[in-house]
Amino acid sequence: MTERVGEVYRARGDGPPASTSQATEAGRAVPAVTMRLCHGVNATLNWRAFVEGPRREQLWRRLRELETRVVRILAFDPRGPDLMGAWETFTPFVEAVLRSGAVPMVTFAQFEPPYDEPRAVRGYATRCAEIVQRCLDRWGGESVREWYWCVWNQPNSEWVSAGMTFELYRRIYEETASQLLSRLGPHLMGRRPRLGGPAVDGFQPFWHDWVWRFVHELDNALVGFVAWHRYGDWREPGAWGAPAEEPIFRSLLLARTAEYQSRALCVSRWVQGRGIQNICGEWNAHSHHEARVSRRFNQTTFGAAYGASTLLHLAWGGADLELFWSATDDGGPFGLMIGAGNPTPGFHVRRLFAHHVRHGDRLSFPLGPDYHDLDLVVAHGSRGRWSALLVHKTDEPARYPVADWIDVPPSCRRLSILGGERGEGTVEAGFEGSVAFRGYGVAVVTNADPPEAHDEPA
Amino acid sequence: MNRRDSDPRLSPPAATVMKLHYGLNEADSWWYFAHGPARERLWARIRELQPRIIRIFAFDKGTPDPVEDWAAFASYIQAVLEVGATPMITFASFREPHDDARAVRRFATRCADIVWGCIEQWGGGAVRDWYWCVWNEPNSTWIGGGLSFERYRAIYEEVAHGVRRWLDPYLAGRPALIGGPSVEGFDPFWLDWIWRFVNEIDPSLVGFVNWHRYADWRDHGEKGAPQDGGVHCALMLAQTSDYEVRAQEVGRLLGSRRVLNVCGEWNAHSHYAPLVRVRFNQTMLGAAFGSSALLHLIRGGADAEMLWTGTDEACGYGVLDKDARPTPLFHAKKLCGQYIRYGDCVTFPAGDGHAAGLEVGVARGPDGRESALLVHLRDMTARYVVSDHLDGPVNGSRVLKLDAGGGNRVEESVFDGAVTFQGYGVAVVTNVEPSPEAPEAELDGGRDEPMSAPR
Repeated sequence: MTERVGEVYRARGDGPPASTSQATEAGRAVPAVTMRLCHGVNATLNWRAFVEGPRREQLWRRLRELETRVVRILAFDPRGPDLMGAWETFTPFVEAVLRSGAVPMVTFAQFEPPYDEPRAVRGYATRCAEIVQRCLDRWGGESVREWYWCVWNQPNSEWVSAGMTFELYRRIYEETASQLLSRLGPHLMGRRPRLGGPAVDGFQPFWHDWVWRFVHELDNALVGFVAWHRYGDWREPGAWGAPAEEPIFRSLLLARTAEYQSRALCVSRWVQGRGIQNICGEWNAHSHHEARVSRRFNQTTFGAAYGASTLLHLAWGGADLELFWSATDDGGPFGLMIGAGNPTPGFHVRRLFAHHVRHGDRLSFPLGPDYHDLDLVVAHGSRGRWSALLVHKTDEPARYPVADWIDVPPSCRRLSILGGERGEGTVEAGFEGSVAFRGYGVAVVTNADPPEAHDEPA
Repeated sequence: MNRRDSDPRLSPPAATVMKLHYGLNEADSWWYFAHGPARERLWARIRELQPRIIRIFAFDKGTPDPVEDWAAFASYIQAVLEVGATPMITFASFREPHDDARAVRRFATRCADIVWGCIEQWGGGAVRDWYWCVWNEPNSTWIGGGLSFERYRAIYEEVAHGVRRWLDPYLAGRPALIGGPSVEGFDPFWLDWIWRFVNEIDPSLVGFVNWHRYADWRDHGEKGAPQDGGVHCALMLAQTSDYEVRAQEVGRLLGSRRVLNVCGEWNAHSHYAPLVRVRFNQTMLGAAFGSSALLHLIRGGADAEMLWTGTDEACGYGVLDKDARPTPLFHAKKLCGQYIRYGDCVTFPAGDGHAAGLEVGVARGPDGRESALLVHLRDMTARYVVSDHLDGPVNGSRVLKLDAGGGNRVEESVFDGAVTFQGYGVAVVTNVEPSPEAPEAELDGGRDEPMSAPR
C-alpha cells in the first residue's frame, strides 16, 4: 500500500518488514561479516584548539572515548600548521594526536603547480622525507613506523589540484614514497609501510579510475593503503539540481548512505590479496563550506543518523578505517565537537557505535530490502556480548518491535537511544521488546554494561 | 589463489533465480531494421538473441514522426513484433520551452495519440503488455535537455495520465507499464532521479524505472582517461561490477513496490565519435565487457536489460550491421541468451573474478540443463581448469568458445576439463546437446564478413 506523506509517496506496511531473513535484493543470502572497521577523525580544522587550547585535554579524552585509532592531519595545506617553517608547532600537534590514543596520518597535501616540474617534485618529496626523518628522530622508529603517510589530497579535483593528471600524480607519488620508504625502511622490521594515497574526491564521476590505477599501476611495495573521500552532497537545497524541499533533500541524503558500502566493497575487490588497507579518508553528510547550509545536516540528530548509517555501511562494505571530517570545528559546520569539546549528536552516536559494534565482532544485517526507513546491524562479540544497533531514517515517529523480528537474547535489557521519545541526547532505558523514535535517531539494544564495553580492548 | 578462502564480502553468494529479460534498442538505424533489404535476415538474427523487449523511439533519433507518417512508425513497431519481442516505445522529447504548459499538454496528447493508434492497429489485448517510456536522459543537457526533476515530473505525469486514459480499459488489473526517467548514468547524482521518480510520482503511474550505464565516454588520454590503451581497457572491464551495484541500489530503492528495475541502455563506450567507440563496442573487448555486464545485471537482480543497440549502420554501437553481419558481442549475447535462461537457478562460484581475470556464472535449468558461462577479461592467452572455478563438478561435455583464436565466430569442441582463451573471450561449458539446427545456429558467423566501417 502506498500513501502520500508530505511531499512524497511512501510504501506503508502494517506489519514487520516483509523480510527479516538475511537476503539481498536479488533474494540471495547475505553472509555475516567480521567487523574490521577502525575509527578515526580529521583534525586539521580548529587544530590550535586541539593542540594548545585551554580545553585540549577534554578534546583528547573525548577522542579516546570514541576509540579513535587514527587522526589525519594536513601538512602543506593553508588550514594546517606550517611544518617546515614552524616545526615547533608540528611537534605538539603530533603529541596531541598521541595523547588522544591515536596515531597520526600525516597528509602531505600539495605543492604549487606546475606539477610536472622535476625539481618541484623532487623538492616536495625531499620536504616530506625530512618531516619523516624529524619524526623518527623525535619519537623513534618503533612509534613512527605505525603512522600513516598520505601523498597529496584530492588530486582529481580541479578545485584543489587544477591540471593534475594521474600520470603526474603517479610520478609525484613514486618519488615521494620512495624517499619516505628509504627513511622508514630500517624500522619496519617486515611490516608494510603505511604509505598511501590518492585521497580522491568522491564527487568526480571517474573517481574510481584513480583508485584502480593507484592499486594496479604503482609498485605495491610502495602502497600500504588507498584512501577515498565521500560526502553525501555539496549542493545547497534548490541549487544545481538538488531538490528545494528540505524533507526530500534529507531523504535523498540518507538514501545515499548505502553508497559507502558499495564504494567500500568496490575498493575491497581491487585491493583483495594485496595487503593494502581500504580507507574512507574523509566523510560527512554535507561538504558545503558555509555553516548556514551544511550545519543542519552535519551537527544535528539528522547528522547523527546519517553518521550511524554510514558507519554501518562502511563496516558492511569491508572498509578498514574511516576518518570523519572533522573532530572539532570552531564555529564551522563539520565538527563532532563544537568549540572546545561540546559534543554534537554525531559524537554520541559514534560512541555508541564504537562501544557496541566492535572490531572483530561478527556482524549480520537481518533486514530485507523493503524497509527503507531503518538500518539494523547485529553485532556478536566475545563472551556472549550481543548488540543490535538501529538507525531510524525518517523524521516521523515509529516504533519497531525488534524482539518480534529477531532473536534478542534474554540478557539484553539495556537500551541506549538518541532521538527517542524522552527527548534530546542519549538516554539510557530498559529494553522491553521494542524501540520507539520521535524522529531521526539511533538506538542500541545490548547485553553489555557500559564499563564492560569500555574495558574490552578493540 | 583460491577465492573461496577470501573475504566473505567478496565470496560467492548462494543461488539466485534468473529474472533478467534480455533486450535491445533499435534507434538510429531503425530504417534498416524495419525496411532495409536485409530486414528479414536481421529479424532472424535478433530472434537468436531471444530478446523479450526492444526499445524504440518516437520524436528523436531520426525515427518516423508517428503523427505525420503513421505507416512508417507502425512498420517500425511491426518489426519489433516480427522478432517476437514486446516494444518499449520511448517518447523521447519535445522542443523547448519545456516549462510551457501548453507545450507539455500538446506533447502528452501526441504520446496518447500513439497509444490510441497502437490499440487501433494491434488491439488493446496486445498493446496492454507494451512498455511506454517517458523522455530520454532528462538529466543530460546533451541528450535530454537538462531538465530539472520538477519539470520532468510535470511532463511525466501529464503523459502518463494520457497513456492510461487509453490503456486502462484493457488492463484488467495488470499494471500499466509506463516508466522513466531513463537517467544518464555518468551524472554523479543519477540515483537521486530514481529515488525521486519512485517517491514523488503517484505509484499508479509507474510500472518501471529505467537507468542507463556506459563504462566510459572518453578516448584514450581524453579528459583524464589513461593514455595507455591496455590500461584504459582494463579499467573499463574492472567496472562491469558496477552494473550489479547499480541494479542493487535501484532494487533497494524500489523495495517491495511492484516496479520493474530496467537497465534501458548500456554498452562499453559512448564516445561522441563512432570511430572511437567502435574500437570498444564492436570488438572482442566489447564481447567480454558485454558478457560480464550481463552476468552482473543478473547477479544484481535487474528485471530487464536493453543493449544499445541491435541494428547499426556505421554508428559504432550495434551488434548487427545493416546486412545482418554480427559483431563479437552478438555471439556473446547469444551465448548468454541460450545458456542462461529466465527462471534458471544461477550461481557465481568464482565470486569476484576480476582478480583472476575470469568471471563465471553457472545456470541450472529445471530439466537438468547445466551450463557454465566463462568470461575472460584479460588480453592475454590463459588456460583455466574449469573445476577450479566452480562450486561443484563440471557437468558438461561441450565447449562453445569465442575469442581471438577463432576470429569472429563461435567454435565448438569437446570439453576436456580446461578452457584456453587467446585474449578476451567468452565460453560456455554445457551439457545441453545441440538440436538438429543448432550447429548452424550456434556456430555461424564464420561465413560472415566484417561489419561495415563506422561513419
